[in-house]
Amino acid sequence: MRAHDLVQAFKNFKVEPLKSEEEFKEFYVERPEQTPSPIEEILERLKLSDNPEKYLFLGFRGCGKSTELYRLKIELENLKEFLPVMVSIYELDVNDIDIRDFLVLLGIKLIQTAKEKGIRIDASVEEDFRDFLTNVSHVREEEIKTASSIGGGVDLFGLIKAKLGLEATTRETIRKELTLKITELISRINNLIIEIEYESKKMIVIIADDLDKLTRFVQAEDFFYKNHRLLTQISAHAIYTFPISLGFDVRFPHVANAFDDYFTIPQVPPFKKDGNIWNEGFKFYENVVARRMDLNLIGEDALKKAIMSTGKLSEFISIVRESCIYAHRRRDSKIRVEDVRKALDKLRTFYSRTLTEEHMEVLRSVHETKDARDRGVEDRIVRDLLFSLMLVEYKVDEELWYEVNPLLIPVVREE
Amino acid sequence: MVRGQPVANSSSEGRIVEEIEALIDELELLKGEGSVVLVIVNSRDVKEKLINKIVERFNANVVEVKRGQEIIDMLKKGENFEVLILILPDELTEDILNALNNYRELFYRCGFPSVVICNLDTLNKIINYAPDFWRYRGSVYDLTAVILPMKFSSLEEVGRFIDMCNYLLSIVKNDNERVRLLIELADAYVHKFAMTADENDLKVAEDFAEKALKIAEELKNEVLIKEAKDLLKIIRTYNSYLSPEADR
Repeated sequence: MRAHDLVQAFKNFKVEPLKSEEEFKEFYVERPEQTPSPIEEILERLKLSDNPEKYLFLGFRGCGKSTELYRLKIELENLKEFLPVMVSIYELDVNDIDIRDFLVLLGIKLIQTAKEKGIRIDASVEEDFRDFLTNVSHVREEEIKTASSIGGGVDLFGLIKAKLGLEATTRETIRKELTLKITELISRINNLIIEIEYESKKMIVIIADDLDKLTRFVQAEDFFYKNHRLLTQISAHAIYTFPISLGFDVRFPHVANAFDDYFTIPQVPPFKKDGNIWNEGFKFYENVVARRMDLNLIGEDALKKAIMSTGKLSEFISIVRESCIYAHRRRDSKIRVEDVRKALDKLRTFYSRTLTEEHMEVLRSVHETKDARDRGVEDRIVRDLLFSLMLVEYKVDEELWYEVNPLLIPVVREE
Repeated sequence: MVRGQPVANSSSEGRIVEEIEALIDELELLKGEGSVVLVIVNSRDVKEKLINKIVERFNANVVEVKRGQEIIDMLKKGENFEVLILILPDELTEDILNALNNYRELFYRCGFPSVVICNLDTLNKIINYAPDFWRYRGSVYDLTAVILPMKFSSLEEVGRFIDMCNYLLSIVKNDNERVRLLIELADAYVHKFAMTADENDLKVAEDFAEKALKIAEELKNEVLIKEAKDLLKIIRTYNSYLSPEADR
């Protein structure tokens, strides 16, 4: 519901992706056509393709990737020929994940989604997967009984999913067992896909979100560079989010070639390369606010300050949310520029504390040239700054440029 | 001593892990002595795992053999390692077979054990075309069972698996998946044959594998072509064990 006061506005500015159809109806704002979401193209391709397509989905943190993937899910659900299956690594232990855990989770999610949708799975196919999981996880019958007696309808699949997320020993056992049996696991996942697609008369589309949030670089490298072939062996349409930092690696073209295509979702800049306001971009951010609250709850100059000082969707939303609190605490009914400034200062301090002189040198150079490149293959400063959002990549139409996070521009200028 | 059987009773992966451990123990005992240990392995994954295990434990020199002379040079000059691993190519040339056969004594004169890795097909060539080397061999480890991707503990289990694959085959739409299911069915019948020794099972396995190969070739799917061909090689090797006169 569109907010008419700051308390409701605070609630509407959650820094979380939009998920439900209702949330999209209320809050979603279409991106400017010069910085489009790739979802329409993906949807079109899925409709036209007879064979399972595999796509990588790239985008910087907070640019709206998850929201766009949920939008894709809803669009697919509304078409009779598709059955989207959402998988997020947040269901596991995000600090300790490898491809084997992910594939087990994928198999479980296929069964759970089918059950939620009332799709019958042939007993032999489900039993085969169940037996396989029992063998590789060493879960005992008594554990399943105990878990289901506690309540919540926990079955073997729910139990293994929970244990994978919580217990390091279970992860170790499963990984060890799967070292020689990974092909068997993939075959069983593909058997489930054949069965569910047949029974539902729909094509499965796997949407693997949050893979870009694999916390350690080595973890992400292992997942995508060493094991990407396993991801392409899944016999259903699949969209895998991909860590943008790996997209800057020299090995990226090799990995990308193994997939049918890759798509990047751009940040929407509120300004042009020369720093002047870009009306379409500015309007986009203004509409994001207008959808969530009455525009008379924020001063015009405060809104402009929030837009121009963030230039990134999730950061913008978080600044407006924070400003709601400051205004409310002042017992004002409207966000003023001082509230926005306070919220910006807080975030800026957080960023600038981590900056080294080496970082500053790169930031100054990018601000001047609008270009960002590491000096050599081993050099990772630019990639790290992009990953931590201290640098931002913008693309409008075909023009690509880089800019220091607008929040940090005053820091760079001061220097 | 031939460890493991061609197929029968050796399908358990636990058994394979035991075999690798046993091989490592044997190499420990052979340290500093010349000897030949022959390992038959079809799966690339298992081969890599085996080599990694040996390299973890010993200072090993791994050679992917391309020419016979490489084997001779290694055996004559090799000094700075504990174990020599020779990986024979899938297509054994006369040059390599001659080096194995004619220089077999070098394997025992050098001061380290040699692990010679080959697949079932090349093993047949060795038996037929390097018979003296075959006679000189030490232990033989058969790790071929791991190429069979499924594990069954009983006839009932194989039966259930076959029923499931037949069901999936009747509903599958994707041709690549159809080939995979045909390969899995062929594979299951090889396992069934291992339990029943019924030649009909091997015949059914061959039919499924041939069907898989035909579709894989039409699809030009190199990975599936190789999988189907590898399985056919195994099936035909077992066939030749059953009717050796067919080879003559």
